[in-house]
Amino acid sequence: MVRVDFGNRERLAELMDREFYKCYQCGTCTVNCLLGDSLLVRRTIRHIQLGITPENGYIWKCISCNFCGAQCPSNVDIAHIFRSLKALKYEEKNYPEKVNEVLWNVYEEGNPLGSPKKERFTWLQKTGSSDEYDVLIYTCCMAAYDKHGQDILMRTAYILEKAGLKVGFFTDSSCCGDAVYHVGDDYFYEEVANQNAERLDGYKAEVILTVSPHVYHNLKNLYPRYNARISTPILHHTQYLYELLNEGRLKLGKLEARVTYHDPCYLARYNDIVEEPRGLLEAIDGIEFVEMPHSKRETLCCGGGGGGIWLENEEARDVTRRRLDEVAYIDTNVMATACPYCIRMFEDESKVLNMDLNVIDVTELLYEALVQSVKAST
Amino acid sequence: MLRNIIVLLKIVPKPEEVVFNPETKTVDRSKARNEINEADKNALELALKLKEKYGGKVITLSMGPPIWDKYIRLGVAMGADDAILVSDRALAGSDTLPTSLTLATAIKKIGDYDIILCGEESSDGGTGQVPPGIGGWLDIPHVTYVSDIVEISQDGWATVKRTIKGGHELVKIKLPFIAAVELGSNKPRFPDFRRKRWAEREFQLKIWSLQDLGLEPDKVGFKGSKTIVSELEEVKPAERRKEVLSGDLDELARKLYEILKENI
Amino acid sequence: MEDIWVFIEQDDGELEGSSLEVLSKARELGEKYGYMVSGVLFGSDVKKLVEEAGRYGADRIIYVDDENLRIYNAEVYAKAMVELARRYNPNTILFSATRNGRDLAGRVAIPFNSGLLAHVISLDFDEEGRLTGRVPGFGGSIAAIVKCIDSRPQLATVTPGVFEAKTFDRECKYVEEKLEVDLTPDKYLVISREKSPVKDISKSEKVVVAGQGTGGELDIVYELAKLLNADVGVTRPLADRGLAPRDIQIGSTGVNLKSKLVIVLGASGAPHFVSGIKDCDLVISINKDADAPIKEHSDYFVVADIFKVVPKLLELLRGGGDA
Ligand SMILES: Cc1cc2nc3c(=O)[nH]c(=O)nc-3n(C[C@H](O)[C@H](O)[C@H](O)COP(=O)(O)OP(=O)(O)OC[C@H]3O[C@@H](n4cnc5c(N)ncnc54)[C@H](O)[C@@H]3O)c2cc1C
Ligand SMILES: Cc1cc2nc3c(=O)[nH]c(=O)nc-3n(C[C@H](O)[C@H](O)[C@H](O)COP(=O)(O)OP(=O)(O)OC[C@H]3O[C@@H](n4cnc5c(N)ncnc54)[C@H](O)[C@@H]3O)c2cc1C
Ligand code: SF4
Ligand code: SF4
Repeated sequence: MVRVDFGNRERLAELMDREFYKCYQCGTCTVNCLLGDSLLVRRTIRHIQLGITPENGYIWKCISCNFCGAQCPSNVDIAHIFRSLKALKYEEKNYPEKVNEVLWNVYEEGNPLGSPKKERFTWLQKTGSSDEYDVLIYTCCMAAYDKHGQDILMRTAYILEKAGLKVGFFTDSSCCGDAVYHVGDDYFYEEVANQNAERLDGYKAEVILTVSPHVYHNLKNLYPRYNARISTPILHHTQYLYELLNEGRLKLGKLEARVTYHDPCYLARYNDIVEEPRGLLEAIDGIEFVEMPHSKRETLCCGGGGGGIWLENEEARDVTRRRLDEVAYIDTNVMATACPYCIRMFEDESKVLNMDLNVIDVTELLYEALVQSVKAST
Repeated sequence: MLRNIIVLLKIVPKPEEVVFNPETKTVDRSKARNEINEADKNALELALKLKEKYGGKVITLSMGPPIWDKYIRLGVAMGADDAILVSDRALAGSDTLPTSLTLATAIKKIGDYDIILCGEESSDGGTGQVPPGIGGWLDIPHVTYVSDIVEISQDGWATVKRTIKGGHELVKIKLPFIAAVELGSNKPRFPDFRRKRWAEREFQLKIWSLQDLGLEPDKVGFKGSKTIVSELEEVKPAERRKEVLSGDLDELARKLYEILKENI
Repeated sequence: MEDIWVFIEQDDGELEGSSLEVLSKARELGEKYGYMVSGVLFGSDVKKLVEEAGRYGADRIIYVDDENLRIYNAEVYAKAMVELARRYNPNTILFSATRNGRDLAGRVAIPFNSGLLAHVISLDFDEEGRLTGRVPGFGGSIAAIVKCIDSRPQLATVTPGVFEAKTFDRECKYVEEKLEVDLTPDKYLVISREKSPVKDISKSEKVVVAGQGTGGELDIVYELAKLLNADVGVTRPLADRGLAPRDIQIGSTGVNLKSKLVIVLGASGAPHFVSGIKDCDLVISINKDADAPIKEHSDYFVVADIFKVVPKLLELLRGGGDA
């Protein structure tokens, strides 16, 4: 007979915000997990319901896409359960060795890559600092240390300036802590979150803009849970640009392209931001927009979330490829998205597969369209 | 159960942030951030692993200025049970001879030790002379370029893995001994941030002066050193052409091919 | 006449080439300042080794032939060296800064209370006869000019590869010494060894160096090296990960190259690494990051993904193109 360990179950319940009580063991999650059945999602939840802490190992592969959660008829936040398990294992000092390296990197250099702290903003041309901005951009580590990411940041800034806004970069930023959160180091995360919140308060800005859904999610939804509060409104760049578009402040020219859009998990599933990026793309004259079979809240995943991109999660490559299969299926060679992780993952994997695919940020298309309109008017 | 495991921690400036001032011919460390010497972190990790397996108390020992405090506490947050800093103005200018003498004297004062672990070399001075030096002063065996301590047996011997040209060897060494741990031989654990809060707020770091060690000032510092640094100079990197090639992959490959053909 | 000693390292009958470089340098200093030059060799059945070493500029080779000295043992070698030095009282003892050389020198310095210069890249005596050398620090970007003071013997380890080993046509005496100390190891026993022959790449003409950017996939690196008839080296992280032996690690804690051509694939150009390629004639690097610091240390800096451009290059080298 199975006996329930009530004490342990209560402990787990507290850790996981009681999410697992909603589960009635239908198994939908296991079938749908993007990593295949190696995560034994349903069984894991069953064990927790019985007060048994799942054994270590496989839980570290979860990329927190919450594709499973989106399919769950009972609306269980399954990704949260897995992340809580990671926190539990972290507390027990039972985690993959690679985690140490990632955390040291964030601690020493302020980014999970381990790139030198002082090179975070070397690409930033103008240094003119001011005390007040309309828009303050919080870069993502992935973007700050990556040529393509830097382009996206600069182009976003350009578009905003063209709309007559005063734009600044949050230059004493360090990592938002996304990787720290996902490997489960709550105490370190709390410190990172509070330090960033405190520094952000030193700036006067109307809005804080992020080019990364992960930064967005951390700042907006996770920081407050760790008592790190930011008084300035936080927006993802697609949200803000969409507002500007509706206010008639973006003058867009014509672009000929067949474009699809990949919804990043942390925009679509976690924050319900799905219409804004589409609205932006559709506003560009000449763009033929095509949807992939999975989109919006049902989007697939790039494989880079949940700390996966830093932990060399080999199995996540299948997740990346699955999405690329859909791109191939709808036959387009421009995939727009709105997340530096997604761009990195898809760009790398499509190269390996020798695909003729342009993975770009929505911002980059807007930039092109803007340049077209400037050209047209001169 | 093991007796004390003593780990030597040196705090060093990050190598890529040190700048040389050619006019004053001095090294400007002021703009560089500091860190625990990388190889010493490997030593601490190994010590903590040994403790988990064989018991004992892990104590870190450093010789340097009081500003090292913060980094030493990071070692405590990683799991060290205790930490000692030897700090005294008279120590300034010590070469490896008095450095190893001072550290050895402090080790004697800590006492009751089975294993002393340190890094293979520091990333600033980088002489690698301190570990065998300490072995000499304490008259205990030393072993260098250690990538692992495989086993410690009941009869008071340890088996260590030492890197040699073309491979490695296993050395059986009698306790107590000092081992210099190879850089990169393990992945140092990340500090426990709950413990870090305690280490920063409540942990009492012991600071010992020369007097506490019973060492005469003329045995250490410039006076006790048998080497002097007469001058510093920048090792200028060779002048390079720095020609950047970028663009189309096929063209790049062809250009590379031509450059190679020209040069071999 | 006072004596400069050079510790001639051997391992199970194989001479360490870099000790001979130091010996030849000592010869030069001996000529210049009027010192006698002695090689000191420990080993077992060393007749042949002793004669070989004698050709590199020594006035005499002092050797101890004992089974306990067949391979390096920190305890036994230090005992032997200390006793021998007490007996002869040399002015200076030089070691090649190999792992064993540094290990031994560091220990021997203590009983003599001697100054010890660390892995010097130049060596001389000053007007007062004090041993002087340039000691690289901070990963090789800065050097200190360091002198021994009030020391007898004066000690230094010498970075392998900075001096050239030369043979001299001169007479060398061979002096076998018997020691009074018991050379049976007491607290330090080498119980097993695993080693494979490694190529000494410090003198290779062409080297292809793999950094972390290769992701540890060394196939194309070896392929490129093969086509160019070059040797392969790696950056430290790859050696740390066990993907290549330490012996082919380039940099301040590895090998210093003096090659005519180095191709650096996916290394960022950290100071500890670039000090290992600074003496090379032509440096070509490939990196996908246009701002990687290695650019400053390259003659040709190719901004590209290794996995995209190298296969194309391989094709050309194989004669696949119109070449
Ligand atoms: C450019 C330069 C060149 C130098 N050349 C020489 C020289 O030729 N001869 C010479 O005698 N001195 C030299 N020195 C001085 C020497 O670096 C100092 O004496 C230093 O205090 C100790 O040596 P190290 O850093 O080289 O230690 P290493 O022997 O490289 O250190 C090995 C390990 O010993 C431990 N350790 C070393 N120092 C400390 C400490 N202060 N506290 C705690 N643990 C420690 C650490 O675990 C470290 O990883 C030089 C210094 C510089 C900057
Ligand atoms: C005391 C001490 C001693 C040390 N001694 C040495 C030493 O002797 N030798 C040594 O090497 N290091 C040494 N180090 C380590 C050194 O500081 C650096 O960490 C190391 O050299 C970095 O290695 P890397 O360049 O291979 O890796 P990284 O710094 O990670 O660089 C990888 C590079 O590859 C590029 N890249 C990635 N993917 C691709 C791709 N697909 N195509 C093209 N480019 C790509 C990246 O842009 C990046 O520039 C030492 C460190 C210390 C503290
Ligand atoms: S899909 Fe939801 S209800 Fe069904 S087993 Fe998974 S978590 Fe439980
Ligand atoms: S969040 Fe994604 S990876 Fe994790 S269990 Fe759910 S579907 Fe699988």
